[in-house]
Amino acid sequence: VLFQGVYYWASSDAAMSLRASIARHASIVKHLNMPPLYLLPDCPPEETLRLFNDPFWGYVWPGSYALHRYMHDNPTVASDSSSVLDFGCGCGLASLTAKRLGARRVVANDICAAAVQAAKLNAQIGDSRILLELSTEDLVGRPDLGHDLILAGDMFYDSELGAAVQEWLEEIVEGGARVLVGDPGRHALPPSLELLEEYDLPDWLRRTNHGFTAAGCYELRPRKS
Amino acid sequence: MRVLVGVKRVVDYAVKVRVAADKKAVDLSNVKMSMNPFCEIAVEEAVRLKESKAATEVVAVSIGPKQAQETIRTALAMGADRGIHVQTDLRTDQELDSKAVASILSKICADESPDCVILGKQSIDGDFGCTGSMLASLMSVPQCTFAANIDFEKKTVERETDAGTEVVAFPSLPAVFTADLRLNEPRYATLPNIMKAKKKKIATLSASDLGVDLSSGNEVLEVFEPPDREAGVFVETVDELVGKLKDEAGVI
Repeated sequence: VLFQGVYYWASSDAAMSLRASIARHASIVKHLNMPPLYLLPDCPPEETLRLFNDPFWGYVWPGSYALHRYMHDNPTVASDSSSVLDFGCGCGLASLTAKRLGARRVVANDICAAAVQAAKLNAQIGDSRILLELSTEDLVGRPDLGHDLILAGDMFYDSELGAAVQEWLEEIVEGGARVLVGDPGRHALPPSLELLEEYDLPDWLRRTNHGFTAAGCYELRPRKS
Repeated sequence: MRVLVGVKRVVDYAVKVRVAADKKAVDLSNVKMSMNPFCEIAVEEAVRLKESKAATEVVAVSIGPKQAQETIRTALAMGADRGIHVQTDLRTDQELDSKAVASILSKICADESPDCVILGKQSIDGDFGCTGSMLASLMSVPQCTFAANIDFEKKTVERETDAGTEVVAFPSLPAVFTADLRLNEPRYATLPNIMKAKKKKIATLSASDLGVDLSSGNEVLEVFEPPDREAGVFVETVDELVGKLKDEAGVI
């Protein structure tokens, strides 16, 4: 039985070929306090740019870094969750951390096919046996999909998208799920978020995010409380 | 603190410019354009202010054709938060003069109310070096030009002069600063930052809608290349050298 809205790519040729390309162009990088991840260099060669359009998955984003740190500092967030949605997973950092810390089921979702394949690759580095469910559906506006924890890292980079995401997440939080947002404090961030913890960005992360020096893990509170 | 930076799209510093056939301007067809190097230094200073938490927002402004948006995107990739593009088809290397540019920027500043404006000390195409001073005058705020170091806490600026550096104090903000070479070394815009910059907002206005006199106070009569350097001459004795300096070069 396939869970509603989840497509399992692993057996398709296109997915395998995408993972092979990612592994060829990106290299495994392990920063301090981070799991090893397939990442791209700051200035990738021409052939990488020709193959991948806007490879957001090739870099760690500050919002998912904040989510990763918060879950490590508060492991019950993940271990108490039976079903986690990593919305806009990118390289899958938040998904990997949630699964490693004990979440029963994690869905790594990103409309970019390369991103979910990068997440799968990252879940298989070394001796890892992490199972992630992958999804490339555009979930904004979809009614509650039955997750009890939603992780949204760096999804407020654009005012229009941010407004749509906010509205959708507010509906979900009313339904009882926990919504955690990671962000370095961009202009489209809704003021209704409660800051749980702020983390200084390490040098390697500041270099790829000019202008930002810290990122916060926020919680979206339901309107009633 | 909101910081406004001006970024100008100019011929790339490494290009060997050529004079157009009509000798009225530089030939810009198919020439590589980039952000004015002093504007890069201005953006870098503004981004550092944001990183040190002294500033909360950096706004990059450029005046020029549609392609000026690429220059703004570079500023956004360096760390600016949003951009304003003032559209004009007038040539920004010679048809739009410093006074018009300063007037446009002063209108933008009236809307944006920046606490601090940082411009490059001069552009490498016009080389007038006036815009910063004119803007400060129009805004009735202090100006600190040729800044090699700005201390916002002590409210002092170390500025370059022909004889060396001097330290001046500015009474208050808002103020206009113009960036000199030693102010900082700008960062490169790398791919992850370029990708993120695509998502930042650029507002577009038309220069003609601002109610500003765009006519130039100057008329370009002719543009020409500097004359080729003539071959040198070997002399045999010091007397011969002195003789040539006196009689031919007329410098002693």
